[in-house]
Amino acid sequence: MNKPINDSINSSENENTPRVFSKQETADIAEAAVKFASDSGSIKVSISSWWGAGQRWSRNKTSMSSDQRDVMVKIESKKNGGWGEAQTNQIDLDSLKGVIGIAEYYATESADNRALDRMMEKAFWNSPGSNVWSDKTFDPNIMKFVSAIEKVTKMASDDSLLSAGYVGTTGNTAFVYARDEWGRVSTDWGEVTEATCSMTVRHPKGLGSGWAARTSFDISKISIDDIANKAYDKCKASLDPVRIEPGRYTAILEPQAVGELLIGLLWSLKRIFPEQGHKGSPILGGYNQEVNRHYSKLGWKIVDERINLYHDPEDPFVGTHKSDMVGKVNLITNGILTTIFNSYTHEVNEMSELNPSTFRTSFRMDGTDTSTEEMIRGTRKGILITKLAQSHLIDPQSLLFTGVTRDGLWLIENGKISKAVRNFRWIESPMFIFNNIDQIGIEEPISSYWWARGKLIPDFQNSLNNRVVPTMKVRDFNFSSTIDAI
Amino acid sequence: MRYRFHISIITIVLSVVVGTSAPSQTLFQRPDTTPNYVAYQYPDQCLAAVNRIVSRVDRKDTIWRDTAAYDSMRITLPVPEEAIGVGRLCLSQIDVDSLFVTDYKDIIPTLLLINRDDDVNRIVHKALDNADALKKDSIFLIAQNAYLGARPKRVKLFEQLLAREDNLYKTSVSAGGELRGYVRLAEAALDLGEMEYASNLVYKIINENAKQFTVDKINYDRIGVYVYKLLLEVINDEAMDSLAVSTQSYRRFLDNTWKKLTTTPFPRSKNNQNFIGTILPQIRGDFWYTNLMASNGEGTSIALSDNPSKISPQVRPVVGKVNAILFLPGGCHSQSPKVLYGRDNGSGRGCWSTISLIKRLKNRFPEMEITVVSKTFGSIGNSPPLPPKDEADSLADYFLKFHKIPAIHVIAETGFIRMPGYDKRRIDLDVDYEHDLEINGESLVRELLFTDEYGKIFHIGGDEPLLIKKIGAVMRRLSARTH
Amino acid sequence: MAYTNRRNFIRGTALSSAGAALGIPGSSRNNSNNHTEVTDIQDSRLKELITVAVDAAVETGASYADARLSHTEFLHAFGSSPIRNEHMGFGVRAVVNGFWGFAASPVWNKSEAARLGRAATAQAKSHSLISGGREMDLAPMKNLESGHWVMPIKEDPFEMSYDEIHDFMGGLHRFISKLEKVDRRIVEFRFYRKLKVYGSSLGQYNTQKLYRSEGDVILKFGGGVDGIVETLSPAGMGFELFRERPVRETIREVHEESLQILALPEVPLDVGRYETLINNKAVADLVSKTIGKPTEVDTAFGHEANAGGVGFIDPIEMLGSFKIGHSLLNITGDRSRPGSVGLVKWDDEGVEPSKFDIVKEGVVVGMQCNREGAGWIKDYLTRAGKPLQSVGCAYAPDAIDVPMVHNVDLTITPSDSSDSLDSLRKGIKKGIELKSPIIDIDFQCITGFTMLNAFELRDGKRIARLAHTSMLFRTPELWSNMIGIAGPDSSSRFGIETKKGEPMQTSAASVYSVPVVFKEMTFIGTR
Repeated sequence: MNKPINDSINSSENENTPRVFSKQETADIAEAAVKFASDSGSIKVSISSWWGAGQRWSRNKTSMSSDQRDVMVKIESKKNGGWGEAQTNQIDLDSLKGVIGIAEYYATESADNRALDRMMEKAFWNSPGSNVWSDKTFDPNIMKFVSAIEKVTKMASDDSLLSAGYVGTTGNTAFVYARDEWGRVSTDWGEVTEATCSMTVRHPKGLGSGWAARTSFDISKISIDDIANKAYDKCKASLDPVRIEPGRYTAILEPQAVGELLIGLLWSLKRIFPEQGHKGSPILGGYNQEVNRHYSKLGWKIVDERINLYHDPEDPFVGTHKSDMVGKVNLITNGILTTIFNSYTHEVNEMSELNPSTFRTSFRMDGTDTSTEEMIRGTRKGILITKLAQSHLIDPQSLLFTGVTRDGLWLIENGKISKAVRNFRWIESPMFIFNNIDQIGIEEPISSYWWARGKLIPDFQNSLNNRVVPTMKVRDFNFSSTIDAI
Repeated sequence: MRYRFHISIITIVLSVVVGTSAPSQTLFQRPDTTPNYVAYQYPDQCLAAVNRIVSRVDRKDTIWRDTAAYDSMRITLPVPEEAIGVGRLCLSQIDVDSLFVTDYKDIIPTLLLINRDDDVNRIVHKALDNADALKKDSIFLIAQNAYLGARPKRVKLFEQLLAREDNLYKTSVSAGGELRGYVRLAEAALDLGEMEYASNLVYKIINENAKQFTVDKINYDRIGVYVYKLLLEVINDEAMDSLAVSTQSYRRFLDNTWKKLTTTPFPRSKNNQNFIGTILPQIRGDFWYTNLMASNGEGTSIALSDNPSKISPQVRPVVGKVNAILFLPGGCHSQSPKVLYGRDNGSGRGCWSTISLIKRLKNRFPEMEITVVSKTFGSIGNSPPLPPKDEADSLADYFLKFHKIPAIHVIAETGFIRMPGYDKRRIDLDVDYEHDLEINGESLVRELLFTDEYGKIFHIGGDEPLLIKKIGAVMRRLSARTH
Repeated sequence: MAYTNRRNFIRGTALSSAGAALGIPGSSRNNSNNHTEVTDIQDSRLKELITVAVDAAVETGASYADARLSHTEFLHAFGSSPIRNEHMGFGVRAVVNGFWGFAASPVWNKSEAARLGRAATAQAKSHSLISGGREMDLAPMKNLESGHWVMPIKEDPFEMSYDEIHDFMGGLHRFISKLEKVDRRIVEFRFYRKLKVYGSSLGQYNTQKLYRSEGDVILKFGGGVDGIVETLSPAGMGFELFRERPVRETIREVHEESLQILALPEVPLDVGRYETLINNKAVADLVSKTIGKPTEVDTAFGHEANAGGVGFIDPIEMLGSFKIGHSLLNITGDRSRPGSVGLVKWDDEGVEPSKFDIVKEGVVVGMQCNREGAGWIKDYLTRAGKPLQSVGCAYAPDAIDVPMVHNVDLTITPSDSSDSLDSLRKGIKKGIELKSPIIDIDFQCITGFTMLNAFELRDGKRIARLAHTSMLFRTPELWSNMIGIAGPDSSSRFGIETKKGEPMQTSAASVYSVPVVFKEMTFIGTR
């Protein structure tokens, strides 16, 4: 292993060594850990390992090239109605003994009955199947990225522009062991990769900025060249933006912008909120005494009938949770709300057959053949939006969000892009926008561009963000004020 | 290949470690310090400390073990010595006479816990001396809750308080008194076994308020219901004699006693007592199970739905015997072993305690017949939905095999409709036994019902001490007849 | 305070199983009998680990390398059983031809140290192979002091009995439960204790023990009004954060103010421009977001272009001349104030932080720099007669994170008046008061927007809650419109979290701020 780096730069030493735990290894660690646990009560051991490689560049040069690894061992213990929880990232026997000891100590000495009606959950979290793991993503051959980055930064510097970006790949495995009060044991295992590439090309004086990005579990579905070209073109086209009056405009939202609004809509579709007494969602309604149930707008047409939104685990772009518990979910069909996200308990207690509609953040929305160019040609006056950023919910009752536009905004006049315009602050509700659709365009995968170091909690369900979304032309998008940022 | 090594290094390493076992001090060691209770600044911190210790000790008691249920007799246990010691230390530096009334909620329970009753009496009475009517009310309530929540209950202190504030808390409603204070006093006296004291008080309340306990009044503020329950307890011994004759005579006795005391007819409120003496219809179900046929009386649960004739006796409740009928609610289901770790919906706690109670009773009265009645819900815990037969199997497995309730288990298959359209949520329909048990528009399906040899209901609900007496009375009647 | 928790430290045996799985072939056998205990962070064997890592990086071709060990303990106190976490990290950073490489893992042993050193160099080298070199001018070190330092705190929560913490919180729970109209309450404390070891190829080696404490104490009223005890935001303190402050007094004040707010009618906004009073928590947020963020040197130079954004202050053209606000505005960066959450003796590059001006009399005169960033503004520093050195803003949340420039502790200089929030409010005839609103600022930190918590002021008093009201502002106008600053007695410290980078990192820094009055701020309705 200690051979000189230069000789093997294409397969640096990292490549030949395991960077995440295998199923057997995690099971062995769990077994070793559980030996320290007392027989009484129940215990849950979650083990997770993570590897991430990232190439970050800015001002046309790589600013950081990194390789990070981490592990997590989390213990939850329940004894006599008491609860204890502790976590470490050290897996020697002393640490395992210590972490179990402290969790059990607090469970035993606990003076409240926090866990009395909290059964240890089964070791199960909608395990993703093999289709969220990509060996290509887990391939740590950074030279591929280095060459790609070299190419795209050169393109920008040749044109006196500044490029900044990030290419990151991660692999994450997790194992859960749970033993309940009666000694019944369950285990579960999952593994997932994620690749992301995003890039901003910017004028050195800040006179224009363009951005493009992709996220997928499979790096081979991400073309760094395409992303670069797009970001580059957008930057060139966005130079010297002019200030125009804020107000309501016809807007063509590129997929990334549509995705931002869809996520806002998605979060309001959780059945659990109204039934816990939370108010304020335009989708989930009140309480129906006759049937002793909370009602919602299920079955109602809530948005334009051209909207079809769904999650299909077999979808190679969305491809996420594959297990016998999870099938295809239709969220919105022809504008009609066809599913709301149940809690898992709702799911099995009240639904007819297994209705796989527990919350998920990956989805596809159907598009059409209409190209963005065609949309532009048909627009007398409007705005083309690349990205909506920094969204905040300001009014849950109308699902009103605010945020800013970023990295490319243009005025369309008489069927042509006439000029780049200064960014706006927008205040808008997806409920309004998705009912004011003019046209729907071609769908493409988008990016979930904020991601943090290591996903060490084995909760794949909410951590996968593979989304496919079309362009959309809408009427009367509300731009409330101009902002100075470019 | 993702994992390029082919041997399990972990296994090797772990075996090495076991051989060279290392000293086991780790980061997670807790500092070996005890709080400096004397330095605690506020009475609320002292109360937090003693409460912590009391619940810690209580929780470690066997009654709190995961496999046993909450025992209401817990409050009769003595206060742990450790808590008393900490309370003393903690309050040693606090001058209780200088405290504000706002601190009383914290200081009084702590003082009672360390047996400084005199101090409590002094500060409460001093505070009442200086308070206006509104403040008096709140001081009274703070003291009442502390006295009756203390271990043991401070009946004498409470009595003094009531006597002093008689203008506010008279025993007579017509004189403007609210009875709650006295009702609670009587309850406390009963809990402590001071029967004479309690019964005098109850008769006094009833005598002074006979006219008040009309149906309207009872339904209005329910105070009459509490008084009535108290009455049942103080006349319990006599009542048991009548129960030993028949359930009907027991009921007559209660009615007559009430009428005699209040000159009004027995208030027919929506009250469990209403159903005493009612004949419980036979329980109908789709799936039948029992563990009674195993040679040792427990062991495996035997599915008998294909051959119900083997269940003996086939009719529930069993005529000629004391019967306990348990209607076990949906929350229990999530704890079935078919689902490895179901999430408890919270109601599971009730199941545990009911099951513990019924097993204790069966221990005491082996002749008692137990019938567990359930219905299907379409799913158990967080597992995928099951066909009714499978669900019934797993329920029987859970109650008869895991909990070892010696019983016949009757399970009804629940019909349902679905919310229309895309909603699809399931709305359960009533099952046969629920129809049968609906009497005058009210359902008899409660957690626990007890029937006598004629199938008449003689008790509804838990209340272990009372149940022991009642079942005992019926059993005496039965054995008197057989001998 | 001694590090009393004895710890099996350089773990041979099973630890190396992690090592094996994480990419250290053979280490399990090499170290299987090496099980030793380290009782103190100053143990020389830690220095050995750092040395091995740095040497490995240098031997394989790094021109500069540094390495960090971090050991973070976390105690989340709520109820009678807390959550206890520990995290250990080992990170090595190396430079080859001006390119940075970084490698990190949770394993502390020599073979892993060597692997990380080599891997960091390999990462850095990969880029120099293709794209030649990258300009890098690491500012010289003032000194290469080595040593050990412990953050001065009074009461180490990790050395306390948890029972005492529980009783303290339990007391507060009961205290709050007795307050009028409080529906629900939240009382939760969080504590961190961090051991940091740092060494570099320059020969410097130092160790530090740092603390951070914070608490959520929230009074929940009906009608969506929450009373938040803001003074318990993250601080570089031990348990004295709760013990020494008059927490109960503060809770009473918060309670009283909440009741007053609840009693106010809610009215719609009359859109327009208003004299505006902003409380010190919100001023702290504004300082952090509008001045702290864009004066991080990497944000200013565009290194965050693809993440949080590029600050609007162009350091080349604007440093020393750009007037960002009123001449009353003075902002300094200082990691030496006791109690600050960013307080350190050495930053994550071994630099001893110095107090420095960021805004002086309304002009931007300084940037939050690390060593590399100081090099980027070398010309300005020379021109302004300032020393070419890092001011100590390098920070890595844990050793497995890449060190970056993060916000340091900032101070907005109070006026020398005796003005307070109340006295400033009294001086406003017609205006608006913002009490800790949510503040959203664009990705260049220039155009901002507030949400919630606006009150109408008339003749020096709050007379109504304003529904759906937002203040719009541009950073330079905001600070130029400053017309009144409270005096030093009104200064409070707030710990504010910020995020940056790819992958995203979170850090906390203290801001010392005072209430401020601004003239003619623009307000709009959002509904």
